[in-house]
Amino acid sequence: MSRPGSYLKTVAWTLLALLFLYPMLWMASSSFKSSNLEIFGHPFSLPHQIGFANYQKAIHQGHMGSYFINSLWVTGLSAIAVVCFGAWAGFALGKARFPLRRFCLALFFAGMILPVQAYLIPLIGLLEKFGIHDSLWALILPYTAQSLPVAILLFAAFFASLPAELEEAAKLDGVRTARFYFTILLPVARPAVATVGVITCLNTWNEFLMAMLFIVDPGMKTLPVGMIAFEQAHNTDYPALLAGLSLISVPTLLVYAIFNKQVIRGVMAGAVK
Amino acid sequence: MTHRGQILFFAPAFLLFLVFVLIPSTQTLIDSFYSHHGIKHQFVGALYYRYAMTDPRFHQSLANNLIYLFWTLWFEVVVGLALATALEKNTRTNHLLRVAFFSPAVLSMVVVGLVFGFLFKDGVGVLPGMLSEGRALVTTSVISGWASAGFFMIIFLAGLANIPEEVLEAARLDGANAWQTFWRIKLPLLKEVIYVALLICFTGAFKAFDLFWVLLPNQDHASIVSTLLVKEVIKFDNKGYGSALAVILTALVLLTVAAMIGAKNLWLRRERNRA
Repeated sequence: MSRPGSYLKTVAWTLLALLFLYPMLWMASSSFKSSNLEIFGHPFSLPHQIGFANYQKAIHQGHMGSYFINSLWVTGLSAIAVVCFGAWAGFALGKARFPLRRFCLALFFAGMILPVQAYLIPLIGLLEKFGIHDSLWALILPYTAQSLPVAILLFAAFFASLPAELEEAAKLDGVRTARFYFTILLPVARPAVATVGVITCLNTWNEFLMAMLFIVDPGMKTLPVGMIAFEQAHNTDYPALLAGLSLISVPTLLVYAIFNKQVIRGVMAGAVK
Repeated sequence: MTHRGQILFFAPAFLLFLVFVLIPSTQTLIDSFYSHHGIKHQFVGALYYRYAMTDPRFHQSLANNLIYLFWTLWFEVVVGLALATALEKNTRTNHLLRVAFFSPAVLSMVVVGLVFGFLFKDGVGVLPGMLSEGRALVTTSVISGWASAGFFMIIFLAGLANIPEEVLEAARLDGANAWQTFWRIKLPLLKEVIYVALLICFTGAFKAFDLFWVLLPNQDHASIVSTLLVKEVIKFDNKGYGSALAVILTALVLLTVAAMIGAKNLWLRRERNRA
């Protein structure tokens, strides 16, 4: 291709990428600006000075600090539970001799398609009956259950793809199933564990609908729901609101930056919403 | 591994799935046939389903779902395919561009909704008027495209990477230009991936909630079935009608998937007969 043509192409792609990134760049730069006037009057300029006053405001007045910790607990525990239970069930289902194997696989496939609205409304009453409404468990347990189908199907496919000789050899050495699973299989399954873990973290961190319906206590809110409460209480304090929005987004963008490969693999497995 | 061992490994996941997904799903179906006042339940048969058939808000919401589906097909899937085709080569620049286009996909839709809500806010925003009654649905679809086109790009890139180099080489030797190669060679070979992308896009258009709820609160003209049913439950305390709408929404998603699987089987059979 000719020089000027490729030069034009580079400029066009750079502009398109900047246009795409603009909302995020605007959010990040506005979170440091000192007033609404600076945010909306100069939407394309960098902040005059970098200060963290907006973040302090979001964390203290907007309670984003406590929402952040709630989100960390919910996300961490859900991801651990999904990886553990998903890998165990996938291990069992990966075996050809599992009773009702095809039925179970079909069941989890259906569970993967099922929209959250299918089981959302009765869960409100159910969680109350269990006495765990308005606690972080009211989110951890449904999130885990919701994420399990994809995780199980992924793990089952992964374990089924491993050579059968692996288990035969272990059996000859007198290794029991449970020990075989924990000492030999789980280390081999690291790529699947990483994919499921990273994807569950992203989905759980961002989940909004259940968190909005199951949590009333302001002290138990997670970031997305807390952010809405913050927005309703301080709906014109844009510098602080945008600091709050940045606080929610930085962890997921960091996870994407660090675990790029796992995120992409999760997308291809159909595990990202 | 003994059967007992298998069941032990399987049990925790299955119990959680049973208690928090399967049983509540069945309960939704049951609840949709009852009226609920406090703790009193009364069997009302298909009353709420009949009501939905005559409820203009439901008609409007369902129509909005379909309009949203139509637009996201373009802004998410077609844009994603275009990006993937343009950034197919594994160069450094292309890697950077892919990261730029995918990164909005990891953001919470609450963040996406609020940020665009601020940018489009009448009076102060950078682009006011984008969320007016006539434009709200298209704007929401564009924002959806902004958030998800990168996701579809990744899916299509995986498909493109699976096309054997020899096929493309042969096309080049035959003198096919880039346009012809795309329409005659790549697109037909991407059949499987396109199918998956359409499945995700179609079901996603019914499952959508967060963006509509955050970006267009109190705009009843722009409600979709999922926001309508949540409003019925939390604003009007009408659990029976909300459940009926949830059942209808679930049925729409499941029917879409079933229809797509059916269409695929039909297509495969026709291909086999022709061969």
